[in-house]
Amino acid sequence: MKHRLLKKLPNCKSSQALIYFKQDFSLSWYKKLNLKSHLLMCKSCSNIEKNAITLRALLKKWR
Amino acid sequence: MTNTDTFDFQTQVANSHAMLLKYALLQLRNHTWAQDVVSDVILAALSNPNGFSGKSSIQTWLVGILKFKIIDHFHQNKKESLFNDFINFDETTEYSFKELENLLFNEYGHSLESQALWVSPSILPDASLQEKHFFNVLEACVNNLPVAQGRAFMMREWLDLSSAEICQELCISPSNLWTLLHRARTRLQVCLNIQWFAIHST
Repeated sequence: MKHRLLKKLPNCKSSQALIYFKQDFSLSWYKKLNLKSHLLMCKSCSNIEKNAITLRALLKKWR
Repeated sequence: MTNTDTFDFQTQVANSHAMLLKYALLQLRNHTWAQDVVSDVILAALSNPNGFSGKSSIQTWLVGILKFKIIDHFHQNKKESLFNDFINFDETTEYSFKELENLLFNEYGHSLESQALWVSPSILPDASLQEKHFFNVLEACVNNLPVAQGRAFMMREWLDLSSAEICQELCISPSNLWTLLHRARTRLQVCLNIQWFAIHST
């Protein structure tokens, strides 16, 4: 039971896909909600989102 | 321009060859194409020195021309289906990305290791030097991406094209592009973690 629930929740894998998706395309409200709800409880993924923003800023300097 | 100015300009353009070739190779991932495009850029620059306004550095001006020529290259080669190899995700790449995901996530899709927050080299005390080193590492990481992923990533982040423009240039669907970029970004994240941020973060 516990395991089935775990599979339904937005996980790190799907959330990271959304974080990267957001850099190139726009997210639907449903996906935004999914991402937000995961980021609130996952420090690691919210770091990944911040890191993606840091990398963007650095790439701007590179070109 | 005086004679010495002209001479100076020509040497500077000629000296930028290696720098231009580096960017062209990162974007095109093909030595012959890169050489051709860079020769084009240098010829164009030398034949039109007045195009250089002096507002930015010669390097910046040349990189601007390079980007223009690369987009031109994509236009010209569209019909010759040079991009067949672009969409072919070869089996080995497909497989090794799955392997990479298995290293990152458990069976429920949760991260196996917690990601640390990156410290940007721009906010370190010796920022310009740190950034220079960082970009060297970044270039190595981009160069290690599978060819198609590297090209798509460079078009997005270096040529600064929108997703729609890239799909149009390469005749691929948005979901193909998304797969390429997602994989490229995941690989870069792992590469930069190991090669830079693990060593340089406090």
